[in-house]
Amino acid sequence: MSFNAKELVSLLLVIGLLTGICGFIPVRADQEAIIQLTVGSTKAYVNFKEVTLDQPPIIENGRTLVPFRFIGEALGAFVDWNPLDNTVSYVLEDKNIVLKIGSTTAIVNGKEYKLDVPPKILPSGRTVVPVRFIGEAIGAKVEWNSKTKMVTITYTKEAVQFGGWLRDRVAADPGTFDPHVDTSLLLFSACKNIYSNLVTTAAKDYTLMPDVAKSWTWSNDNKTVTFKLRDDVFFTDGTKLTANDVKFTFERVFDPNGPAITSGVADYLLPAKIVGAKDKVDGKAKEVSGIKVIDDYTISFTLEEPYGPFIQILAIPCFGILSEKQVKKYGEDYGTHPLGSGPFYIKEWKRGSYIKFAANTRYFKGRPPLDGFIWYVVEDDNTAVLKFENNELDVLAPPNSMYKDLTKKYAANVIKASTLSYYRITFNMTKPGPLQDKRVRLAIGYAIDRQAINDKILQGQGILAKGIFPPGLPGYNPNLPGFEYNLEKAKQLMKEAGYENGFTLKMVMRAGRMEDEHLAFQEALRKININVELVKVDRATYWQMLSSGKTDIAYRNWWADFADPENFMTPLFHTGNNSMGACKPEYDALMDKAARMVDLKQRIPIYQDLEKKIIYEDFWEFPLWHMTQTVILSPYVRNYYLHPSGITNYYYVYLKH
Amino acid sequence: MRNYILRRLLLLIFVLFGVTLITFILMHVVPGDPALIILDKLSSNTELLLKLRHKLGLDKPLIVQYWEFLKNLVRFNLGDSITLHASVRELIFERFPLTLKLALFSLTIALLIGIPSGVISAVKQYSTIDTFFTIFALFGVSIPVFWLELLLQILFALKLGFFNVSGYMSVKDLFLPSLALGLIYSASITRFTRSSILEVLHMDYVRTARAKGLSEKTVITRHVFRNALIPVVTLVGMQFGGLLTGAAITETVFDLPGLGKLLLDAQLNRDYPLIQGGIIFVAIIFGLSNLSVDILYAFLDPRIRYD
Repeated sequence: MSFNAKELVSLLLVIGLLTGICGFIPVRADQEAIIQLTVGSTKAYVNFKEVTLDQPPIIENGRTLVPFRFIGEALGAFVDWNPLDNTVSYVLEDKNIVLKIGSTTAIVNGKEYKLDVPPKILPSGRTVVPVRFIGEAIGAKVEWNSKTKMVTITYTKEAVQFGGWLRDRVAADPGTFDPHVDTSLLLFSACKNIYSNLVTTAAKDYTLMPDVAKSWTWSNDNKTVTFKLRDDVFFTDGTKLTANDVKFTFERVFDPNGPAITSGVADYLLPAKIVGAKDKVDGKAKEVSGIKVIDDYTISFTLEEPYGPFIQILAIPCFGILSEKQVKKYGEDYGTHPLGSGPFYIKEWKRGSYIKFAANTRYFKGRPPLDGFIWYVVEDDNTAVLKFENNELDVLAPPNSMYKDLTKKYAANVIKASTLSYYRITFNMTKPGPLQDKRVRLAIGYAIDRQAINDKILQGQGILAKGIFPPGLPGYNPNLPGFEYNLEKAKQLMKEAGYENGFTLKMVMRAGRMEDEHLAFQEALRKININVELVKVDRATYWQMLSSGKTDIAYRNWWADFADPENFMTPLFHTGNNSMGACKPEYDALMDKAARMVDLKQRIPIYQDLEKKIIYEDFWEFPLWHMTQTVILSPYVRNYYLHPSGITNYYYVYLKH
Repeated sequence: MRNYILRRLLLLIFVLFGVTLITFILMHVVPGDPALIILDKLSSNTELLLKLRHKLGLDKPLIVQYWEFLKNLVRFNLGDSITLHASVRELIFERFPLTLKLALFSLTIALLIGIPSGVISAVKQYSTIDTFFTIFALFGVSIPVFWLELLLQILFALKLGFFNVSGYMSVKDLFLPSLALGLIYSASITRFTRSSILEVLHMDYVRTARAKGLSEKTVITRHVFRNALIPVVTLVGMQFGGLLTGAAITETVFDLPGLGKLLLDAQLNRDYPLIQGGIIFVAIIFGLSNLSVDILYAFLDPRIRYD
């Protein structure tokens, strides 16, 4: 058989198209989203599949109002509700729609539009919006059948496009790609995109999803979990990932001479008490007896006692599955020769300058739409803004000082999301002095006008906290009373405690980080005659002063590693973990007890009770706010999801050409 | 001459020893602990902290730590960076070429601007052009370098689109930082050259040369310039040493992975091995650069001998 040149070219093209090596091929046949809702009925259809609504559409003033979140999620939009300014928003492809509850003004891509009927929150807690407006704003077809009272929304989704490189910024170089070396968000983000875990979290929240493990089952005593692994997972060097690699990975975590034991990585898993892990750590055993390879694609973990958050912890990026062969080959240099089975691999790394992550075209969930992404190391915020404005970056987290201008200028391309974070003022309980008096601590709380600081300094990016657990975390308690700003009450409490004339407190702060907030606290406490002496130091000195208790109060924050209230309790309030000294043995016992319970529903009341005691009875800390995150994207970037963990998964991102 | 160089090199070894001692003492007098930095938010976990300190050898007495450092040093082993997970030697040699390029480009620009403007200023003393160069030099000395750099970024990258704002992908990316540093450094070169030439212009031998009937051009180039260069060479030598180590601000503004930024970060992170190794490297560079300047004197002025 012979081909002429033309035939050969077309044959190659066909092969190329079939195997997907030619870029820019639109994929996904299901490009239409058809949503059907009936007024007054909880039955709805998404692409002809039945779903149940908790809020049916209603008619008001002759206009049909539909549930906002449901429609958005059915369309695949990024849906957000901002309780502070009472707005709800969609980010869908190149449209950014913001509606204010009770207001007839809507903002679409930064421009104002008038509505006939304002959006409202119904007693069910659901927000409803006029369907006609939403349809027009996102460019969907809205049909109304007056006989059946059915609304049909048809939206033609943009096809996911392949190809192109996304340019993102990091403030520092991770220095290594060995997931066991540290627990920084930066290394987590890198690892999330290079490695696969046994289980993983969903794109926009912490819902557990299968990853390398396709399923898992717990034994009846809740002590042994058996994972069934996929048999089609390959490392990017072409070798297969098997149960032995999984066993090797977790044994390395407990290796007394390995990196995980001193970096905090092992500390995530030590409380789970895997059988034999302690012996391995103490150097008494070569293997961890509780981790058993049953066959190439089956592995089981046995715990000494049940441990609630175990599976969630396995989804933390530091537990990405390593290749035994590669780690053994490179030993201490593994961090510069990483090998994973995730959606991307490190193609080029210029330390301190940039990192190129290229698409793993053989990724077991299908290749990522991007050809890859680049992390530019840009330390200075101002430089980052200039680079974004000069189209050298596709993603920008606007610094507070320029937040208003930038989010206004690029209004169409702003996305916001909540995080699982907790910012608070901690009191040093180890030192004798006025802070030992609960009334004084309370007075400090009442004297701080959180709303004003949030508005003026944080540009409204905080959500005022009522307790420790942020909204969105299982265990978040919306019924806590919260704190108000009340200067009179604060003065009264100071008087009762006998400190009417005040005293001096030392507060440590890091140079260049959150300085404005510290100044605001200083200013606020001056009003109750407390003189806050701000000690401005560099990072190293800051941590030293904090950990040795050489400060009276501190402004601190905690970002969760996994979505479990346990992750806000034990690390912050368990004896041995709190350098400011606030802990009680009976609370320790409760935390330990709760962690041993498997059912989250049973554990939550214990955590909520602890939260109430710590914040409202002992008042060890003054809760300030939970932070939200904002990024501005280049107009052609799609599906850049902000995960509440602060870790970006570039697998979903694509560029519209 | 050879003996002189050998003597100077020998002296350098003693200087280095002093440098290590002073650095070591200063490093440990300043509060801070690299283990706390690594653990960051987990740093309240006391048990973990003790384990990590032990692993890094920070729990040993200081004198032992210093002795071990010296032992490694004579074997040319600078140890591993605590925070960057790589050997100190590798890190320094990875970063040094970029810094060297930046220093050479900046100094070239500085000399190209500084020497001619200094000469012209001196020759045309009190003229309009002299005033212009004086004002220029005043600006150069007093403008903060990061501010000038920001202006250059806005003008040449954002407005004109000639360059990238920051980053280092090719040599082209070194133009803006070199220009900024060059402009700043040229200011003092201008002033030095001017005053040095003015001084020489009033020398007797210049008067003699003029009296011989030599043209003014010959007087300046043959008799004045060469003699006036000696203080300028001293200055440039010091500037070169400074550029090789102290361009941390410029490297930060332009995101250049150079030596200055490496050492600044090392200090901020209390990365003891990297600080030590870096300072020794810097001390060697300074020592060699001073030595080269001294040797250069002999070539510029044959009357200077070192024997």
